[in-house]
Amino acid sequence: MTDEIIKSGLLVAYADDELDSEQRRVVESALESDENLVIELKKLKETGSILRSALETTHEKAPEHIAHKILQLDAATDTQKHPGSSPTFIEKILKLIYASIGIFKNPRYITLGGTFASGLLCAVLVSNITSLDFSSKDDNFVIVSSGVTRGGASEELSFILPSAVQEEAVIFDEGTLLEGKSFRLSWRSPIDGVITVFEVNNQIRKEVFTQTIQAGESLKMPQLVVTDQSYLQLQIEVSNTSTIITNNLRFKISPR
Amino acid sequence: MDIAENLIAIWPKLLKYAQSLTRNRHTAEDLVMEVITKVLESKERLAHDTNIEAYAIRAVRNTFLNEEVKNKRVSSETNSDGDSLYDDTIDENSMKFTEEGDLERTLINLGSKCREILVLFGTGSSYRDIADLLELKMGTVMSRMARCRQSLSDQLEVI
Repeated sequence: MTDEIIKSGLLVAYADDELDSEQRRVVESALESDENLVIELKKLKETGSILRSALETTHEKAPEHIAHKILQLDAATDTQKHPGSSPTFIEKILKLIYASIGIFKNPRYITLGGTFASGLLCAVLVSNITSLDFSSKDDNFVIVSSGVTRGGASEELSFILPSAVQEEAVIFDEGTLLEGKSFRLSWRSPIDGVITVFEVNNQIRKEVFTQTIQAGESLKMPQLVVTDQSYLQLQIEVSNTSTIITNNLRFKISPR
Repeated sequence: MDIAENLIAIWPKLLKYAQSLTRNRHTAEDLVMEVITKVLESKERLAHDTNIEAYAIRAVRNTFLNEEVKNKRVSSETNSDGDSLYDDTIDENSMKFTEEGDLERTLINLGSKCREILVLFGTGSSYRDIADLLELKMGTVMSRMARCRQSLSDQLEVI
């Protein structure tokens, strides 16, 4: 009887208060007449106590960076599922650097036929890239996650999106931005549609901006600043009912 | 409490359970974060009364086992109790994650089946929870708990 009560687990379940009333009566009846069972019960309560006190997590908390990461992931899944969010919802930075660098790297992306058109685009692009616009202070200062904030005097960079579909796995390294220095990005889309920009981190993408855009229109983004990270990767999608263009860019963030 | 807050609250328990499986803290942290990501991505498909803790623990286990199968490290040989005959015993590398304490070393020595059930118990799971999570009958949980606690007692030399 003693062996059966022990091996079947009735005794340990009794020690852990896991039995129903019927089962408890069986064990208590056996305990009344068996000293060895009483000794075994004591050991089981002891090991139960050791396990609970060593392993319980009731008073433990996730580290702050873990909690922050989980909240970021949660926000990311929300924005991915609800892309129609207002731009003010965006807490990330965007970077789009295309066109001149992209076009020169990938001639197949030149969609405007003719030397004149290409030359004109390049001229527009180069002039935009080399002009630094130290415009005055930003409004709507927003603290974003990933160490990026908006605001302050900014460097303005304008880019032209390529019109050909890029293989998603290809990431273009598009240069360096200074940490802590604000910048403003603007771009031109080759097609009408909706432009959505995602920040990509550890293969998880979080939407940071979405807006309708018209072909050829120059759309200016809010000013942004990158802090506390060494790389910034963006995925830019322009889509309409018939086309989706996706491009991946990466910037190195250089300390000031 | 929303799902994200719930996951933050149970993260310590998920980590302890994941460590009992992986025997490596860094791997356990990665495993837990992978599972949390999956849970958040599927949160809209979860019923409003889903037990997130049980769901997440089960996901940790399944994700770990799937990886083990991929790595072809799971033995298909079992004894009549359903326990693997290949009871992964301690090796020097696995000892590295045990920072201190006889209990942690002992849990490693006991093997994966005991370690899993004892850690689930120690982190607050009831026998019913354990049965559901490990897909075992209650009788099996009780008999396994008895065996594992006896082994634990012997190794810790509980008097």
